[in-house]
Amino acid sequence: MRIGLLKLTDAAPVIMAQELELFAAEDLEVDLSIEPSGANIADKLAHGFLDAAVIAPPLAFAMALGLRGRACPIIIPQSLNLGGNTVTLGTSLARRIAMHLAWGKWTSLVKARAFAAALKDGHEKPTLAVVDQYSTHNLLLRYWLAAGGIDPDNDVTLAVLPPTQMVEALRGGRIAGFCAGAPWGAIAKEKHLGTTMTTSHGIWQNGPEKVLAVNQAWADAHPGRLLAAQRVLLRAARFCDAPKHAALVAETLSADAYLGVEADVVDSSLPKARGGNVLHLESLFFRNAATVPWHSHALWFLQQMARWGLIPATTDFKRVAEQVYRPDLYALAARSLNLPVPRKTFKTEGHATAWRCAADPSPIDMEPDGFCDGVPFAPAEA
Amino acid sequence: MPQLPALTLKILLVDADDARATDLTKLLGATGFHHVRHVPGGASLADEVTAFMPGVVIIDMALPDRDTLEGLRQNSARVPRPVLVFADDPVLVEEAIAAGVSFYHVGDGQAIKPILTAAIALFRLHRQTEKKGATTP
Repeated sequence: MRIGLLKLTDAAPVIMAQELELFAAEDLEVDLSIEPSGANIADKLAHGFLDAAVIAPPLAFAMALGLRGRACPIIIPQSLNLGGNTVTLGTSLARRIAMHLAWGKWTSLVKARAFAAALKDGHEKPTLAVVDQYSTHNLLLRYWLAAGGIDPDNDVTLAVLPPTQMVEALRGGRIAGFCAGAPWGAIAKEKHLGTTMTTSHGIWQNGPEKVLAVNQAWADAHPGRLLAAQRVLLRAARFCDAPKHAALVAETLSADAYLGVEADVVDSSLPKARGGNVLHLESLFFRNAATVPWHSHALWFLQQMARWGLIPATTDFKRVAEQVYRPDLYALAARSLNLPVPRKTFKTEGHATAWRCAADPSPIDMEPDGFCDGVPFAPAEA
Repeated sequence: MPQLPALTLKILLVDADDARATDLTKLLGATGFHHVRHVPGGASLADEVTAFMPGVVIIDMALPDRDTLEGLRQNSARVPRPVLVFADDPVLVEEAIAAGVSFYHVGDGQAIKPILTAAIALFRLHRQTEKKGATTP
């Protein structure tokens, strides 16, 4: 089985599964391919050079809908993590925004409104970079800007840059800020080039980030291997989610063969024991049902892609969501490990407080999953 | 008299490997394509595309910059908007991926097949040379 990855902390469960020989324990031979671009992953997945990959859901939908190249049936049998991105703004833009922040609680929404006010101060339109047009980052950044009253297509310039180039582009003044996955925000902060204005969790608490995307033809031909791979990734997710393993995960990921960055900056976005701080940086790999491919996640992504013109508004969201997101396959793998399986395939996205998700054999304790504007997303039941 | 192909086509070559880029520029020149600009990729790529307005972009798949090129499409202020070349010929696409090269073009893709074939051949040749080099102690 060939799995494609990008140089991001999100890849932790797959990398740790390989390094801890968990794939081998299930008799799976896995080759990991670290790819420099999402475009490479999409092409290789579509043309049989990869069987599966760690990607953001919008890219999976773009492939399935034939938005880049030939349409390629893709399925998502498992999610890989929640959160982990930062909206990092360069020092001068962050200072302009700070001038519009009054005393009080600086929520992500308050900051977005201050950003909107700062844009009226007569400076040049700032350029903000995201890692890919078909990325969670693009949709989250746009959601946050719009929540504050900023038109992402007119009030700022949105550009695409690979995550590895963000810090350099910020230093050179080519961009005023970016939204990217860990560890790139931490690196910009460490170099005193930028400030973390908000994070994925600040925009959508415990919102989804990367998923395991699988070429459907491969999945159909190898159901046993897919199930085994999912079991391995569930075990690896639980391993990576434990704060006591953070040091080992950070050290493993930081190796040149993988991310090639300092272990400290990887460590800063791994799950920690924390006390109620919602603007946290972490990628969560297992808790809060992080591995469940919820249909409500799929519908949110599709609706936001349509909102910004990335897919036609006439797309049959429900049909596409159910074709690509496969909680039924998730249930097979989770059940085989005696892990709880939610009774429903969707949830209301927007709980302001902790809640309990009905699941078998036992319920799952969930932290809030609300949006920065306080508006819940409640897809209708099928 | 048969119509001449669009030899005035501007080609942007994005490759961090100078030697390979020089070889490919020569090869394209010999095929009649003389408007080739070579850039190494990086954060300035979007500006370079906007300034040069290439009809075709040839890019090394080992660079991270493909997402930048694909992202130009979402930004209506920037022209041209290069589109991924997915020739109707899947074999050609697979050869390109195996050779480690990718293509984008603006407008119709009629004139560019010789460019694709030349670039694929050259990337493949460099890859083979590298492999041979790697096995030599």
